[in-house]
Amino acid sequence: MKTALQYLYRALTSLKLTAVLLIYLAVLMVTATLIPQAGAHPLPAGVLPARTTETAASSLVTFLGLHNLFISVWFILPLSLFFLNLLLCTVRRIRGELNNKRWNHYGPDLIHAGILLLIISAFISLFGRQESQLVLAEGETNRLPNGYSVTLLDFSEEYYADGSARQWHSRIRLTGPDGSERTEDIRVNHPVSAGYLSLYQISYGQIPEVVLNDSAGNRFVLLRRETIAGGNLSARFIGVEQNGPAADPLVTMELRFGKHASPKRQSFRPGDEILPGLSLKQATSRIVSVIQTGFDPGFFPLIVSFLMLGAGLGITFYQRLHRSEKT
Amino acid sequence: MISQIGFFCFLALAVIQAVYLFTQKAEPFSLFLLPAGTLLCIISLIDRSIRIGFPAVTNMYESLLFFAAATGTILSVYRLRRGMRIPVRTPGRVPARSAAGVPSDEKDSDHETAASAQSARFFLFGGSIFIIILLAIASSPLAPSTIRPPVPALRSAWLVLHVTFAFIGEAFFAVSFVAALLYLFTHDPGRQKSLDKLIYTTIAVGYPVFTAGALIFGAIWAQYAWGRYWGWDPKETWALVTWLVYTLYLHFRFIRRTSGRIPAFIAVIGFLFTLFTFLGVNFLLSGKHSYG
Repeated sequence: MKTALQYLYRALTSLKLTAVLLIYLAVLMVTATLIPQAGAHPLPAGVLPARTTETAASSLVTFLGLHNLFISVWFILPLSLFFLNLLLCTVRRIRGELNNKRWNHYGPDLIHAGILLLIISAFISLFGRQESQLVLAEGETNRLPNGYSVTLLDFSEEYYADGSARQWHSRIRLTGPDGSERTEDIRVNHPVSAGYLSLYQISYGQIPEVVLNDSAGNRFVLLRRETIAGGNLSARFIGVEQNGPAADPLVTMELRFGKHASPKRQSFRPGDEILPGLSLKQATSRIVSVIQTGFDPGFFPLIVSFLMLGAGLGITFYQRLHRSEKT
Repeated sequence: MISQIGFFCFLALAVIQAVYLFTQKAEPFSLFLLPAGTLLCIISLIDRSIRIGFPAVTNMYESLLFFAAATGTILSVYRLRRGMRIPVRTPGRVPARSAAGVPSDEKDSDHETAASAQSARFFLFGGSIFIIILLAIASSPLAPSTIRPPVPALRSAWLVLHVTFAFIGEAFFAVSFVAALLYLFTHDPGRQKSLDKLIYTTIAVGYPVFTAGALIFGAIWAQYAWGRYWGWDPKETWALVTWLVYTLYLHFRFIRRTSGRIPAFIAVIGFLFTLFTFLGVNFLLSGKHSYG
């Protein structure tokens, strides 16, 4: 029993295992860059066309979890083994140094401890990370999971002289769970905190909208996929097509005559009647700010791991080069 | 224009180095041309930085120029430290050996000095060729030199630290690659010894700088820009793989105390990964780093 444990300990602390795991992880990571990964660039539902045919290769990729390699057993298990290997090697090294009273060789220990903490941070991030996106038009409000509300007061862009974008600003009003309010300015690379969440300005875009008028002169604004109903009749805004700058926009609506009737798509131009007494006045677009919200409990330990790694590398290489110059 | 003059400086330098590669004479102008070419690349970068109002490290052209300038600076420092004249041993000369077959200390030392000097010539020539390749890519349509200010996400001090440190680290790796290639093609023990030291020293300096730039500052920038310090973007992944390869090299050298062909081979592989991370990913794979 003791021999088996000793054998296991020797195997787990061997440099050969480290080398094999490093090479395996490197090959796996390279493979992951060649297979489209689902987790790396998550796409909103509906962006990808529905798969009609499945090839044997794509079925195999899905079956083996290769489309999500970095959270698959192929990656997590060897990474965990690497963690154990590094942990045991570090402990053995520190014990050896304590026994031999070699106090000046702590650089590699700091590096190894930093890498261990880095892997722990990655696991904390993997399981504890929260993120979502807010798409806000001016004046719109959205509620965050931590009870804060975000209202977009104003969105603006700064341009260079050549017309390209220099900076995007969102002026927002943050209302806390206790009702307190504050106004903040979010820019790219300058996030803002709302409780434990951080808000990042990541992009902006334009979303189409249509303005409808009823016979009484009331005005209704519909954003894409919004529906207006009257009795058993309803119209859902699908999209706008613009054929040339001078041409009238062509608005596609999905009409439903009766609750159980199948929907029918139809195109309209400004002035056309969509439903009885309801006509299309104009099709425009409005600017929306895309704000990423996120909380990553692994970021703070990651920074600590970076500091340990940096200090360890600095000390190790200074000592090695200093020694090599002496000899 | 300034960088093109720099390119011609390196071209002239390489021609002179090639002509004098197997002679004992000192190369004329080489001590001047190497720093001059490097300085011109730096001036070109400063000029672009002033024009865009931001450190010029935000697209492929500027990255190539910075990479060339960083490599040129390392080679210039190396060249200046070696002095004006690089003595060369007579080709074919081997150290005299005692009756026991052991070279005497003095002759052994002479041999090592001469071998080291010969290695230095080949090494500097290889370095010049590498810079010429970088600048040739920079002059090609693959890297448009149009001056364009950076997009909002790139306007960050962390981005500047990320790119500059990563490329300074990569410049050390490039230098180690040249030395490693020479190592693999030489059989002279004296020359191998001096090249091995060069490979080890450059990787030992480049590794922490690359770690800081490519991984640490890159992660901090990504956290501030997108709220996600790591996204398994192809460039991030390849940079991590490159880092693992050099980690393997250092473990061979530090723990196994292995020197010779295996570490030299790993240094070559490491730099091929570095090149793919920089150029291959940009041209063959897509991701957040498509701008440079």
